[in-house]
Amino acid sequence: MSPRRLAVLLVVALLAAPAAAQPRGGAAVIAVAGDPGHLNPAISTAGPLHAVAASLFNGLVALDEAGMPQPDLAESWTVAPDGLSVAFRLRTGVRWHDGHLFTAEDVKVGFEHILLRFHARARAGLAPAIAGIDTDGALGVTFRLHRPHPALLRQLDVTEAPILPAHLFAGTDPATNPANLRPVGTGPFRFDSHRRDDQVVLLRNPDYFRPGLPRLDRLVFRIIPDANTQVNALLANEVDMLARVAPPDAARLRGRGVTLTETRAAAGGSNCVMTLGFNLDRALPGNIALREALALGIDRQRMVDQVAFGQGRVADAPIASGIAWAHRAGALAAWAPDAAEANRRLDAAGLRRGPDGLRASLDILHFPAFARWSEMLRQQLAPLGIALRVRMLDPAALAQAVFARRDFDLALISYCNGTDPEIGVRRMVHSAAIGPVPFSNAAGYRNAEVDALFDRAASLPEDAARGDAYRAAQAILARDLPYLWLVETDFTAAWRDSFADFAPWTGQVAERAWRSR
Amino acid sequence: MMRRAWRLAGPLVLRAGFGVLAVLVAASLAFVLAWNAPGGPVVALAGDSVAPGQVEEIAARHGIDRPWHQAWLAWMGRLLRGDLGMSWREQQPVAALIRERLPLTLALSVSAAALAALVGIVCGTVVAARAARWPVALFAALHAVPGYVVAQGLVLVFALGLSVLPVQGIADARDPAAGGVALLLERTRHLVLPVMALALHQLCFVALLVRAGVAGQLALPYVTAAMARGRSRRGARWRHALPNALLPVANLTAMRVGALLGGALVIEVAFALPGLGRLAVTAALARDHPVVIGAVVVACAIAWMANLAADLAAGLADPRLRAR
Repeated sequence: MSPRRLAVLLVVALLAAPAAAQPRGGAAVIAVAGDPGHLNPAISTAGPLHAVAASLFNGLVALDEAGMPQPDLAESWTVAPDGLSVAFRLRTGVRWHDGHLFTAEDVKVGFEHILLRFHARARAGLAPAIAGIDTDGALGVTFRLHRPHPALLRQLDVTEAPILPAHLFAGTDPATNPANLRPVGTGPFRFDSHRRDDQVVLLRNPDYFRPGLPRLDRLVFRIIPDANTQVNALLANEVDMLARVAPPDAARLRGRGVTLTETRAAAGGSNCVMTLGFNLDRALPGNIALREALALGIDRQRMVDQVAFGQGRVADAPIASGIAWAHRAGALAAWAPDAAEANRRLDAAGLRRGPDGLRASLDILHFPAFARWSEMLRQQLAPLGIALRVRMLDPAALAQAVFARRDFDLALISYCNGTDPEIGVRRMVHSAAIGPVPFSNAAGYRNAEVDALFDRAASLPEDAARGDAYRAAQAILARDLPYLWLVETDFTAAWRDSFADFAPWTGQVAERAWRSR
Repeated sequence: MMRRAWRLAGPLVLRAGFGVLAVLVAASLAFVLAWNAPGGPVVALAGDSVAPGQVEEIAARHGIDRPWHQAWLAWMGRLLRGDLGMSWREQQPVAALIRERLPLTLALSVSAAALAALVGIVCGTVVAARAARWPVALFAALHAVPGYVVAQGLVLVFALGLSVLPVQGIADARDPAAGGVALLLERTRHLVLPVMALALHQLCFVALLVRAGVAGQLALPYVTAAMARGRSRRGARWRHALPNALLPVANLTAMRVGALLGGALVIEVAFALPGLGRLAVTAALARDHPVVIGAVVVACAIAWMANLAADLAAGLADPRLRAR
C-alpha cells in the first residue's frame, strides 16, 4: 500500500471513528410534567402527549434546529411549478413496529382519515388548502392543493403531522382506537408499557430506518408533576433529563454536572411569545390610548431579566424572530419604556387620575404558572395609575372565560408561532379566527387589511414575497396594538453530563442521544 | 327469633342504607360541581391548539351539550348498575383506572395512619406526665406545617443530603425490581418518606389528643386508687389512664380519614406517586368529569367505611356504647 493511500485511509478512518465511537445501549430517564393520557399524537396537539409519543412516530419530513425541512419518511419531494401540487417519494423498506411495511396508503389514510379531522393544527391550517391526496404506487404520494400553500413542508413534521398505520386505523374511529393505548409507529423507539401518572417505557426499535440509530436501548418518561421534585430527582441521579426547566430552576442547576440547552422549540410548540391580549370589545382595553400607554409603561427588558432570567429576548415584532424570513425586526421599537409619554397619552385621552391616584382598573387572566409575569406587570403599571386585578385560571377555565364568554380585560397568553406564521400567528390576528375556539384571536381584532395580507402571504409561493406581506401586516399590528408582544421565551432542557446529543427542539428528543458512561 | 335477629342486624342494615345514600348524594354534588365548573375538556383533549368546530364535536361526543339534569339522570342510572363510565381523556373505564390507583393510596394512608397512631400514642403518653409545656407547643407547631413543606424538608435531608432514600416515584426507573423480596424492599424504600410526610400531621394530632386524655385520666380517683394499691406512676399511666384515653382517639382518627386522603393527594403530587389523588387532580385539570366523580364516589365510600369500622370497634371496646 502506498503511503499516500495509507494516509487517505487513515483520514477516512479518523473521520468515521467518532460516529462509531458513540457507545450504544443504556437507558435514559426523562422527566415530563404531565401524563400523556393516550399515545396518539395525530388526534391531539397536547404538549404532554407529544413530548412522549413523538419518539414513536415520524412525519413525512423532519425539521432541523433552524426549522428547515429534512427527509424523514419522505426521501425527497418536488413542488410543481404552479405550486398546486407537491409530490413525495417515500423511503423504501420502512416497517411499522408490528412488522407491516410502510406504504403510501398509510400517508393517505393518515391524513384524510385522522390528521385533517382530529389534529387541530392540521385541521385548521392544512385541511382548507388540500384538494386531495393521491397515491402513486406504494411509494409515491401527491398532495393536490386548492392554492399554492408554501407552509406545507413545515406542517408535515412529527409534531404537526405524525403518520399512523393505516392497517390499524382505516375504517375505525381514531378517537377510540385501541392502538391509541398500544401505539404502533415507525419511530426510533417502540412502545413497551405505560403506567398512568407514573411512567412510559419505550424500547429501541431494532429495525429503525436510520442505520445505527437510536443508540439508547431504553427510554423511560417519568411523569413528575412538581417542578421542584423534577430538579431534586435530577440532582439525586434518579432521572437523566428534564424536558423543560423553569428559569429559576435552571439557575439552580448550573454548575452541578448538568448540561443546559436553550432552544426556541420544544415538543408541541416553538417560537413562543409571552403576549398580553387586550379585549377590544370592552371600552377600556378597546381604547388605543390606554393600550399605547401600557406599551410605553412596561419595561420588557426587565421582564426578560427578572422573570425569564435571561432565557429569551424582548419581542421586537408581532412575528417571532425565530421565523427570520417573516419577522419585521424593530417593528415594536417605537414602544420603548417612557413613563412621561405614557402619562401624557393617558391624560390626553381623558383617563385622569382619581383622588386615590388611580386612572383605571383592569382584570388580567392567566395560568397560575405565569404568576411572576402578572406580578411584574402590576408593579410596572401601578405608577401609571393603572391597577390590575389578577384572576388566575387553569387552562380549561381560561379558554372558556377568554374565548367563549369573553369575560376579561387583559389576558396573558403564551402564543407559540410555530415554524410558519400560518401555524401560530394567523389564528391570533385574523378576523376569521374570532370565536369560541381556545387560543385563537383573543383580542377579537378585525382589520381587513391585515386579513388580506395574511391571506396573500398564505398563498404566495416564495418565502421572500411572503415575508414582505407579513412585514407589512406587522407594521399595522404594531400600530393598532391588539396585543402587546412582551418576551420571546426560550425553552430550557437539562441533562446530566454523562449524556449527549438530545434534541429538545424536536419531538424526537432521543433519536440520536447516547450515554457516555 | 326474627325480632332478635333484627335487633342485632337492624341498626347495621339501616346504617349501610344511609351510607349508600350519603355516597350517592356526595357523588351527585360532585357531579353538579364538575358539570358547572368553568371550562370544558376541549383543551385537554384537542390540545394547546384547537380547530374551529372541534369544541362542538367534542361536546357532542361526550354528551356535554346536554342540560346537566339529563346528564345526571343518565349517569345516576349507570352508577346504580355499578358502572362509573369511561374516562374521556384516557379512553379507559373509570373503574379500571381507580382500581389501578387505589392500592397505592390505601397503602400510603394506612401506613401513615398506623405510624401516626403508634408514635403519636407513645409520644402523647410520655409527655403527659411532664409539667413542661414545650412538647405541646412543638406538636401544635408541627401540626400546622403543610404537608408539601414537610415533604420538601424530608427530601432535602434524607434524599439530597444523606442520599439514603429516593426523591420520588415507587420504583427505580432504570432498573426496576422484578418481584419478590426485592420488589417489597424497593417499594418500602420509596414509600418511607411519603409515609413520614403524610403521617406527621396526624401524628401530632394523636399525640396532643392522647396527652390531654391521659393527663385528664391521671387526675381521676381510680388512678390514685391504683397507685395506692402499689402501681408505679408509669404503670398507672400506661395500664390505667391510657386505655381509657384511647377511646376518643380511635373515633377522631376514623373521622379524619377524609383529611388523610386529602393529604395523600398533596403527598402523591410532591413524590410523583401514581395514586388516587394524582388521578383526581389530573382529571380535574383536564375536566375529565367521569374520573373526578368516580374518585369522589370512592373517597366517600372509604371515609364512610372507616367511620363504620371505628363505631364497631368502639362498640367492642366500650360496653356502654353497645347498649344503644
